[in-house]
Amino acid sequence: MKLSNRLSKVRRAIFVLFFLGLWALALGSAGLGWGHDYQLLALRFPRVLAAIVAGFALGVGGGTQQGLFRNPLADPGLTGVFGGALLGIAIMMAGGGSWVWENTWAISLSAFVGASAISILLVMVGGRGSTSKLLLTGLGLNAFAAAGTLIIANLFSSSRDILFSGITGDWLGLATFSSIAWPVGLCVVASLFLISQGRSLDQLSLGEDVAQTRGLDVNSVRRRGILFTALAAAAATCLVGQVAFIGLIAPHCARLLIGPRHKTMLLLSGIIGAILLLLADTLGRSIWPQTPLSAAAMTALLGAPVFIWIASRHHE
Amino acid sequence: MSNTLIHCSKLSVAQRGSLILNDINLGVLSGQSLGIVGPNGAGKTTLLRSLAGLIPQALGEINIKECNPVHTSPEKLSQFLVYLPQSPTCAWDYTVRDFGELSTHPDLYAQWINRFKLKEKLSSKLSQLSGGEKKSVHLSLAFSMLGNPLQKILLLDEPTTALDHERAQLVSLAIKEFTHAGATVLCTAHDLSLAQSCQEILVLNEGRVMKKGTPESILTTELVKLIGNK
Repeated sequence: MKLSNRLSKVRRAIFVLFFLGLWALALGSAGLGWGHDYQLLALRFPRVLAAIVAGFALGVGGGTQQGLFRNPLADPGLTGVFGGALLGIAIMMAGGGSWVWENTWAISLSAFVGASAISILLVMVGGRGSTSKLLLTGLGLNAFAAAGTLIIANLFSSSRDILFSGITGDWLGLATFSSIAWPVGLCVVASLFLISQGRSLDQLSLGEDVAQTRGLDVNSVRRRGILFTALAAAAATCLVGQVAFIGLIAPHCARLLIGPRHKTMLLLSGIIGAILLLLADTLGRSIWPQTPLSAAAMTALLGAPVFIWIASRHHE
Repeated sequence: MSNTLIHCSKLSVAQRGSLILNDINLGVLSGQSLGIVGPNGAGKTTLLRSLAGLIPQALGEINIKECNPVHTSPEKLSQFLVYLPQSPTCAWDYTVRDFGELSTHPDLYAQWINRFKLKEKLSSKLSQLSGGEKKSVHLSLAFSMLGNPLQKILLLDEPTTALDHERAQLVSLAIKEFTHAGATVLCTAHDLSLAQSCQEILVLNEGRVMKKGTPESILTTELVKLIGNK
């Protein structure tokens, strides 16, 4: 597919995201409207911005992780990276107390440390094996991280509610301009860096041996990719909590629409991720306004069947 | 010798406790084609991978265009070396046309796709191709990566596996064209007709060099038996 055709599809996706964003800003529990003096708009804007940026980072991070592992089933949610980020946040909350809330950069930092630690373990144990080895390793790490987070939530009652809502991917409702500033900035930096690595990921798709003889420093690309995917996933976790499947579905849709060239694929994957998360959050808070569903619940409803479909088509 | 492009001495590789290559001494002149033959497990693939700098634990001396490939940056090595593994793969389902975008010379890729008679398959995805067609697409990519073949090195691991007779002949012809244009080509082969089209043949057995010479002097009946029937 020609570059101009690919970019035309990216432009169309941006239009969809733009109008979806306007709809999400206007939609609330009382129906459509921006309220007197646009107060509702000011309240909803951080939430919509957080959903867009986190979804973008998840789409780009998922596409990058699939490219690094050469595996269409890799997703930071399924491979435990979000779990690691949340465990990092839980440890920081347990140790830092109220200081953490006054220094939101510390939450981002702790999420990054947790996500990186899980990513490194994932590469060491399951990174070079089969798809099933990678996913099983991710499953184990995810369970370990979730157990750690639950233990901390039970031991420290002050952070219990907030951690439980993080586990269920329900933090978008807490978004304020001051709380999202750091994670939004980190999501943007990490996503742009990962998109810039597109050509390296293209080379890596031919296998490590061929990529290396084509001039790619494979280890360095993997190291950078894993660290910046962890950063994107950690920052997105700070905005939403744990949300699986966006990083799986978005790259898959992008590849179907414009093919596998990574630079444009990652860009489109990010936009599709933003659309999916924003749609999930907006539907979740508007279908049953009295008992809103978290974005994670909505994405899982959509994502689980797609995961099964991809898995059934994938041959080792 | 001054125009020796590839030189290795006392090259040994051990993997998982067993010696795959044992004291290999080899010199290949610039512009020469060398067919590497031997029974399964003789160390042919390991020799090619060592020369491509892909086995850091290789012992002994390897010198390719006056650099040790293990200690040379991949970027520098890629300026004069192209390697195609025995079973090349691609993680994603490109169309044959889009796959050419991975080449540094997409125009040459298109020419090779024509020569491999895959022009009608340009819109097909890799998953829709037969094994031989897929191999031809990877060969087209590798051949196009050479660009101007002068002083370049092409390492091909079993390039004719899965190819029909016509495409296998094209690979033999391509090797002759590349060496004529100044490239040095090393290819492992089970297909002795491919090895015969090379200027020299190296016979490996149990990780050691058994013989090296012209095809006429090397391919005796006993040797053909050893390679084919071990």
